[in-house]
Amino acid sequence: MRTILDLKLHEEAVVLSINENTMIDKEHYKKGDVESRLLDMGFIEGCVVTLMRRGLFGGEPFAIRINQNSSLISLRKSEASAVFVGNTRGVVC
Amino acid sequence: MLNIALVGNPNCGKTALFNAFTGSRQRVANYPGVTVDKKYGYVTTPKNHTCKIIDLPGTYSLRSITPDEKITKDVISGVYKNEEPIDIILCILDATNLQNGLRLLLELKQIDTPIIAVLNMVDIAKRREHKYDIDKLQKLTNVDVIETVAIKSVGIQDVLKAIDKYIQTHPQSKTTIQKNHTPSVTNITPALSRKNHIEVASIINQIELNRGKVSNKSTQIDKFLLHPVWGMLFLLTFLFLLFQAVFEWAKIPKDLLQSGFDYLQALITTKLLPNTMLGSLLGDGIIAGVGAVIVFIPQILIISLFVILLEDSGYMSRAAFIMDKIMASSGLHGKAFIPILSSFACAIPGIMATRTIENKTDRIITILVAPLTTCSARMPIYTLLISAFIPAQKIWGLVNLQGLVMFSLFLVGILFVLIMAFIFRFILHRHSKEPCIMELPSYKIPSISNVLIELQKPLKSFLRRAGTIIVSIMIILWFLSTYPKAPINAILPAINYSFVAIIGKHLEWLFIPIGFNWQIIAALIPGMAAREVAVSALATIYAVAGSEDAISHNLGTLLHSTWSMGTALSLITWYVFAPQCISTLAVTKRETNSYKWPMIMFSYQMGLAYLMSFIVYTLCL
Repeated sequence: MRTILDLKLHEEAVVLSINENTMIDKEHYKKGDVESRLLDMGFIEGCVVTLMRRGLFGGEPFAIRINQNSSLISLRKSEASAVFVGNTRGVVC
Repeated sequence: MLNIALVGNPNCGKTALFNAFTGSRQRVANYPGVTVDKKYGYVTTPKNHTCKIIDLPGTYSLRSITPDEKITKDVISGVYKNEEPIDIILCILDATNLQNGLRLLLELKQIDTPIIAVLNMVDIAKRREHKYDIDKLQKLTNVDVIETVAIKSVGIQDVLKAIDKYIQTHPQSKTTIQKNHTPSVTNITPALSRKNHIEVASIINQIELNRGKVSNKSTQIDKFLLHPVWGMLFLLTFLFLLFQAVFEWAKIPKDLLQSGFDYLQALITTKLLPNTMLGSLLGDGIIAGVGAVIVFIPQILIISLFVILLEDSGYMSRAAFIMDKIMASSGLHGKAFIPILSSFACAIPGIMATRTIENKTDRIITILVAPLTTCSARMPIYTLLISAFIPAQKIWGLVNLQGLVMFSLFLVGILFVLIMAFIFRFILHRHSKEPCIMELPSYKIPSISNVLIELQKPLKSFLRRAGTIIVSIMIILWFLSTYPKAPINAILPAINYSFVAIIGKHLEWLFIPIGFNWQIIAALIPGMAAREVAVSALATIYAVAGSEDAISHNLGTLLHSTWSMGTALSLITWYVFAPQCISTLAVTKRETNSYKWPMIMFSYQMGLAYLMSFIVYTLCL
């Protein structure tokens, strides 16, 4: 399954699940922290995310647009790896 | 009196609303986390009820992880120490981003404190063609909704009328009922968040009349400004231009102020009150000392202007995004960049801004390294020494060499922020991590009136310091450098027999390895009060010591002829690192609530300053 880490620049995708189980550096985070924060910032199963920009040398951080919001959300790679995405075909937004 | 709390997502306009209500001028800017402490003000409604308005730090949820979010949660749940329970919550919603605001509103509704919703920034929403059915929103949420444009004070009267209406319909709540109950905030689990997400989606579905369009402007600008290569180049160019501007733009006003003060000093000591003690106290003590820092006002204003534009335009969080990779490599938290960038104006608001960082150790590391950032109070001493010792030539006919040196000092500061953060992280064994998710708000054109208001603040505080602390220190210093009088058969200038010289010479052995003479040492002691005081102190010491000829020269020329290049560079280096600011240590004590951290801060900065000055001075020998 793909996560935000695998998105190409300007690619749109739909969030399938938010899940900490296979997150990068999972052991360094308190359980539930990343999931809760992602939910607070507007990530939710079914929302459409677009990768707008990545940091230096194609690495972190990731600038994500959620749905058609005017502000962007910046994530580091651990958080990005907790957001599983699929393609937007057939999704009505 | 009614207690009214302003609650909402970060950057949705709470403080702008607070200012519109109370007529105060709290800082409003365009990045999440401008307000990190609660603030009070009072407003009287049309029906003559006085209300206490409490502006709270922004939050996305009542789960509250960071110290600033915790303030918000504790105040509205009535458990904050010495804080009366809240009678009405004004929940501010950003009309251009309703989802996040409505989710917070649903969480707030679990507490049984009455809520009035304020739909802010409706002008921007209108421009983007977002259209909502407000009546339906009121029905679905069971909360009164008022539309406002807080920064233009539009709709403020409507909010006050809504408060009056509430008082009329709930006369009893004013006193007894509200004060006796303690609202409880339920634990906000991910499951509850998901449920709220679904409910909000359904509300928006029902009230949305027109979806509106995304602002493409921000996206277009971000294509360039967030670009990994161009974005970084832009940021460096921006900072580079800033330091060029400090020298180029400020030159004429600074020279004018300088000649004004020189004239005044000469007038008093040679014409009006020649060879009198009073003349010397006024001319050599007060005018020389205060004038020496006042002339740097143009520089302080230019630095402040750049920082205000950075904060108000929305570029601040972009700069944090661009620098995130570099910050991460030294182990700093992603949110640490904003406090560090703010420290660039002054470390005190910078240290306060660390409240947006969740983890205590991450926060302490940021606090400890923040004072290494080149703050505006370093400008006087840097400018004085750079103008005196670095030739004012242009490289490739374009770049001002003095500006370039200043820019490198800034880069050295940032480099040591990263190095020290790395070391502290290693010492403090910080391995666990917190999620680092930041919002990059859409760009806004800074309003000229807001910029002007904000520019007055550093100006006023600088003048206030010059008029109080600096004047009093200079008077004391004048006495110490004038008395005791030189013996009749003295060979050296009189100041060599004064208390200042005695103290300075006593400590001289300690500073010989880094090339400081006793005049510098004597200036560094009062210079602990604030960095710019050292410049005043040097001015006073040299003015008291000086013959009539010395007065007509300015301080820079005087230093150039009496100090070696090594001494000057060593003193500049000292100021890059040394903890010459008592207020920074005091705010660190307050924010960490212990004496341990300010002491650690003081010792490591002192040690680093001595070591680096020693290296620079030895290399120059």
